[in-house]
Amino acid sequence: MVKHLEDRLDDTFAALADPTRRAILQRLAEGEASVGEVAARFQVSAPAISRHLRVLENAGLVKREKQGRVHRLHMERESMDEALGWIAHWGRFWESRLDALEDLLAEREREERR
Amino acid sequence: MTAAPAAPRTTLRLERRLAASRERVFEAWTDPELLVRWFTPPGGSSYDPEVDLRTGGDWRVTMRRRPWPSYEASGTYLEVDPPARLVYTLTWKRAPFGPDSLVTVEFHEIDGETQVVLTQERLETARGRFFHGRGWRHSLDRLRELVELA
Repeated sequence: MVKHLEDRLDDTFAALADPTRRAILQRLAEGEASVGEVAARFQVSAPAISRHLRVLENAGLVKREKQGRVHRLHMERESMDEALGWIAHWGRFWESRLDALEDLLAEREREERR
Repeated sequence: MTAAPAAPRTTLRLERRLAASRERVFEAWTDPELLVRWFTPPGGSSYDPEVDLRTGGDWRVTMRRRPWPSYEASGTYLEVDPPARLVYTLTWKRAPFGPDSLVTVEFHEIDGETQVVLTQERLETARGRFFHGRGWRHSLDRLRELVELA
């Protein structure tokens, strides 16, 4: 089933709203790793790591490939790019509002000086 | 109109007569715990102050006005001459108040009271002039409340 953009953003931001999951992504940003390698980094139980990985996979931030008995994990760009696009949109929005504010205040200053 | 010489457009100058000693006003400006009680955004608060009060030392204050995210004011002391004069840079992070500026504060003693003369230079944008004019007026009112308490 194809998820809509809004749903994908919900999943992505919810997945990012946790320090352990962000740290897992940080680890995978350095390069792919097995589930065991990721788990070894954290003082969290294996089932808890599995739950975090499911959330990240569901959000499309992490992809799992089975190589025999070893599950390899790597980061996926697309969901993060969508989230970054959403944030960048608001960045541009606020920039344009601040530019408009600057114009308005500069015009008011010119009038006051007349 | 007053006959005062016209300040450059990029300079903001404010004066306040405070019924407190220069020492007390200077302390309020430079003691971290006192600084966050008056150097606050209108309708908001300041916290996590850091003050390294010496020439070349840095200062920093975090500000917040809910529901907006926090932002930071920081800078470097260029002149520290207690209780008469203070010069420091002012930089904003995560706040749209314009590029870095330079703040000079003079504390003049008049009949046991203090005339504060605040000059802020390098306000290059209309936004910066607007926000700082509003911000300082608010802050100096709070400073008055703080230092004029017996």
